[in-house]
Amino acid sequence: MTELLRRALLSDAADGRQTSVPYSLAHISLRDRLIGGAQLIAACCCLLLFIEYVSKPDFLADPTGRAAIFILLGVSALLMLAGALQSERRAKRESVLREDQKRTSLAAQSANLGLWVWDRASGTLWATPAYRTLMGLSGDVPLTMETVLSQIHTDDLAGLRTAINSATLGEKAVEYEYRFLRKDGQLRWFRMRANATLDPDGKRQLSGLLVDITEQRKIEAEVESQRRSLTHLTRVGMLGQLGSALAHELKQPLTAILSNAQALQRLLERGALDMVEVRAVIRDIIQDDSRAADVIRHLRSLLKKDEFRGEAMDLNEIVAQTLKLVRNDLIARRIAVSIRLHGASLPVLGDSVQLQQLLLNLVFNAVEAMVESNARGGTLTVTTNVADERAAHVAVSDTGPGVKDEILGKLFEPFVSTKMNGLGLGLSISRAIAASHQGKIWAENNPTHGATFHISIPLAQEPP
Amino acid sequence: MNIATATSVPQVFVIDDDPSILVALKRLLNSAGYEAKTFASPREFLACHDSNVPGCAVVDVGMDELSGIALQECLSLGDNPRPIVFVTACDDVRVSVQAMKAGAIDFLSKPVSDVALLTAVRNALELDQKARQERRELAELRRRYATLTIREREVMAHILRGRLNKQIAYDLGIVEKTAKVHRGRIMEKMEVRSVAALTHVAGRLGLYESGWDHVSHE
Repeated sequence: MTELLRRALLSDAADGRQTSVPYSLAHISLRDRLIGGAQLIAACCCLLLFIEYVSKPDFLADPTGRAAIFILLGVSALLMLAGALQSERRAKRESVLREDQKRTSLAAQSANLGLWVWDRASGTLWATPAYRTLMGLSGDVPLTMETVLSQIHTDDLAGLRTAINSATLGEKAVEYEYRFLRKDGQLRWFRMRANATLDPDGKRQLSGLLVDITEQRKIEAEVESQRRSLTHLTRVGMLGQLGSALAHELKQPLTAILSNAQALQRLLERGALDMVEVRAVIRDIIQDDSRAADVIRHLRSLLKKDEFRGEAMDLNEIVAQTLKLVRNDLIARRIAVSIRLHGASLPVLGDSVQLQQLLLNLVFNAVEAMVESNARGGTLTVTTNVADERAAHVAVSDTGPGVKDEILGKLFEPFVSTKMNGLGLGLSISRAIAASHQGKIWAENNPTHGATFHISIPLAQEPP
Repeated sequence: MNIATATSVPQVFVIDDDPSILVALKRLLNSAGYEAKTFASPREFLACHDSNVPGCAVVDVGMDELSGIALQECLSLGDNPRPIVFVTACDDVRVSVQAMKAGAIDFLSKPVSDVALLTAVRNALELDQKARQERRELAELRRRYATLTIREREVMAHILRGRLNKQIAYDLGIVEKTAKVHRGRIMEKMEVRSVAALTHVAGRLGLYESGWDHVSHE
């Protein structure tokens, strides 16, 4: 990366578009130094011989003096030849380098990469024109780190400063994504990569590159929003199946409230009031009212289109709650339910609504598999456990016909369904929900009959 | 039938898996002057069920374990079938049709109003009382019939066919006076005063349906 940057910098300088190159990169090789030294010594010798000749004109007559002159001439000729060869080699090398730099710069430009170097000591920020274009800055505005930082989204500012600091101190390159408010009012997403380098004088400086990832972010957000809508829609669809169960859950407290109130009314009419009893009745009415409200809250939370909420919860409780919701439905379909919950609580971090949706989906699938294959019903077994001491494990097992081997492998892919009227989205959404909890979901056929679906979700660290 | 249970106060047995509904329904029934006993499951109820205690059951349909309909089957099997009022939070028409066909007093939807519930309970208790009364009377008639000798039963069959003493004596090969004595004993033992009343008793005992042959040739 540093090499790429270096070449790009040189090329900009060569094009004359950038006037101040932060550092020279022309390294003097050992061979250059040797030839230069020898040439210097030869020149000194020539000077000494000339002084000798001026002071003693008969110097040429002396055979020793003539020999010295000839030797010096020969050495000088050799040195000049070596110098000429060396400079030609250097010129060739430099032209190759320049060609290379040109190509790199072109690549950086076509990839819409902005390149920059920040000299911490002087505070100057050098950048390529592409960088300025990305940032929406005109060419003549002097750049400093502070002018750039002043336009960064306040939520990302602290993170960016930390990233720059750690890049300056560390050996490794640091990446950071931030929002940048351009002068033209556009909010762009940038990914920055920074790397500490040494300039020829041995001073530390920071260099790096900048990519605009706004479009990528937009697509990601759109995909996420579509996934959320789909999750929500299937959940709402599921509520249709849950309708009678929810009505049942609501009617129970309403029945208790009505009977309590009417009992109280009758006692009032008869004038046979026992204050202790009256208090007890009112307390029960209030309690049942809040129970009804809980059902409605639950219903609303299932209907609501929420962002993913991470909260601490007991997976055992979620399983128990979900099965309570479908219990009546299962009885009506002659399905026996066996629940075996792990003895201790299973603390996980996640979204309770989504986890319930995931469980409901597996339970409905199991029930439909059993009912479709056998009118006399079957047994649904739900077990919770701890796997490898690190993950909460839920197994939903049925006594249906099982899953065909050729489908088992692609069961969680979208639009794969074994049901007559299935869209094939339920399990792919289930997998997405499991993934958003850093969990896994998989299926296998039971040794005798039916299939078992497994979910595993990492256990949350218990607060000390 | 033992006297102690026959005279005890009618009970309303409430069976529901929801504890708060059990408490509320018990309060409502108490406020209307009924004695109520609550049970969390059909199993719990059947474990201490005494069919001799008069009363009716208010049963929630759609519970775990044994369903309300299965409980209805259990209760209708014994000597003293108990009338049942169903309440349900599910809107399953099939279940209600099945329940009503099996003789449920009423099938009420939760939340159930006091008037509907108390009316159904009152009807159920009246029915239970009437049924128990009838069963008591029938038992008494059976006891009376059991005191007749074989000859008297033979004579009674002839009386019920409308035969006169003279005809009976001829048929059975006895003298008319003996036939008259038999007739008097029968009327006395069966505690009736007229042939019309005797006919009515015979009808209740089901003597016509069971036929006379076994009586006349025994």
